[in-house]
Amino acid sequence: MNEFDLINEARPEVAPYDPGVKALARDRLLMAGRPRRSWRRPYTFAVAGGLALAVGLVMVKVPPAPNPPHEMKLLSAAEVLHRAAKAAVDEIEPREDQYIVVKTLQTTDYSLVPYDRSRKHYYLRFKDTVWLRAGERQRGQFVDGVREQTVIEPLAYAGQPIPKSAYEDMGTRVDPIVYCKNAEKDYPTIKRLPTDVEGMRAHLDAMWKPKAKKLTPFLAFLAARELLWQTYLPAAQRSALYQALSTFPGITIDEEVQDAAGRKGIGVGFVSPDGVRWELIFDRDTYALLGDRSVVVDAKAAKAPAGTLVAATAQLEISVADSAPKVKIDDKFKSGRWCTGT
Amino acid sequence: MRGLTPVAAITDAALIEESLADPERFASLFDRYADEIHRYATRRLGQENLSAADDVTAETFLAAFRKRSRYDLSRSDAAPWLYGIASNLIAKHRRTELRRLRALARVPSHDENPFEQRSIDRIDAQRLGPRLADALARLSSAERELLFLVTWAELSYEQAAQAFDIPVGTVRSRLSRIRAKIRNVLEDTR
Repeated sequence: MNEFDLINEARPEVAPYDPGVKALARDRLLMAGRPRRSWRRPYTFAVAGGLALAVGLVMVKVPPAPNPPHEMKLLSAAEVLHRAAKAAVDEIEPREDQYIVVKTLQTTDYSLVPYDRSRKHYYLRFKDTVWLRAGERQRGQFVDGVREQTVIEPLAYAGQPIPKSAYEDMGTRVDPIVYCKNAEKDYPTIKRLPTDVEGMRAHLDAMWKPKAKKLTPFLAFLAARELLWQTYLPAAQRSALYQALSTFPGITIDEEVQDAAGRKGIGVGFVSPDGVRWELIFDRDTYALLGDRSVVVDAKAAKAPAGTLVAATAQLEISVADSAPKVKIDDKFKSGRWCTGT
Repeated sequence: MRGLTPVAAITDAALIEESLADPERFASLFDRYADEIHRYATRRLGQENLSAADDVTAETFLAAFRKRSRYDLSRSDAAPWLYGIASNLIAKHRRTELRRLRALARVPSHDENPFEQRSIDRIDAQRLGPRLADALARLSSAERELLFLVTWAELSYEQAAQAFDIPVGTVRSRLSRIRAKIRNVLEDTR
């Protein structure tokens, strides 16, 4: 063995480049090529939340994505998730006697609605407001929250005519939300979720038990999406969730996608076995979550042209309220044996 | 679908050339080499000096970006150029590295209780051995830079020559001198 072999043998194993630090170094490099300007806006969430608290009302709007003069290019999915993890801040601090209010938009291909057998294609759209209790369920309290759902004007699917029945569904209804056992997403449960990456991975795995034997990246994505949908995940858990997602192989980025509200962002996600790409959408400036979407990427597997939108959502607003709308609670919920799902 | 296909493989030189008109293209060079350069800087400066390795990596690409117009576009592989820049920056941290090598030189090579050696620097010490650490600490800064490029960074002699802009014959003769120096220290302390 010669001297160089000795040195090679002593070559230390080192930890990988921290993705967050790496992303910052890359940013610095990109900045060096741009005209000098303030590029990163302050976290609108924190500022808006702070000001609104002072007047006793918390109202937070997810900022619309501006059109930056220079587009970020070739960012990796893991980098986007790490940035989103780093940018996560607690937007609201509800008291136990209050309600978390989440406003969302949804667009779904009607043919996927389970109760319909007509297989008609048009986009069914919902505008929802949910009120979720911030404290533990009290004695005599049978529900976890209330959902006010308005079916808004439908949209045409790939130029196909919209059936008349689509307009007949328009209107508003209010229903209770009762989470099913082991699928609770109420705030007291959600804020006890792990705040570390390993713990969060284990939780995503647990969400699929006993249905799935192995947590695939795609199943992990679906579980993560579920945790983020019409809930308020505190910053620590949100950060852990994004970082946990970044650890799965096969996650890719789509640089310019739109959420259900038409806001542009960066899509990060996986392709399902049936040829549909599912992705979370992040604001390219603040890395705040805008929504999610699923779109056909493999025409053969999905039996639809590539690029066809399957569904999209947008998370519009998170706020806190002292009360929720009254809703009729059926006796079946009082028995504790019924739940409404998500 | 946009953004789902991998970036087409173009040479580093072509990327650098494109970055002259479109500066953001240079980020692709970062994507190609940042992990490698960071790994090298961390090995050189020690896991315990991670922030210095982070700085060296970021500075390497910033410096490369600033002088990209002077890059010799006939060299399709930019790795030697980047390692050359990184080496110069690491050399500025030579006090850190020397301190580390000297500290390693004082650590006994046969630890009585290896199972309690948790930190990476202690493991380095065990692997490097105090005598080798001592030999490395006695080399000149330029010698260490060259030696580590052809060992830890696995650059060929030709690439090392490009990194330091010296003839490949000079690389060979310098390395042979370095080997002799190390051998002497190892034999003296045996």
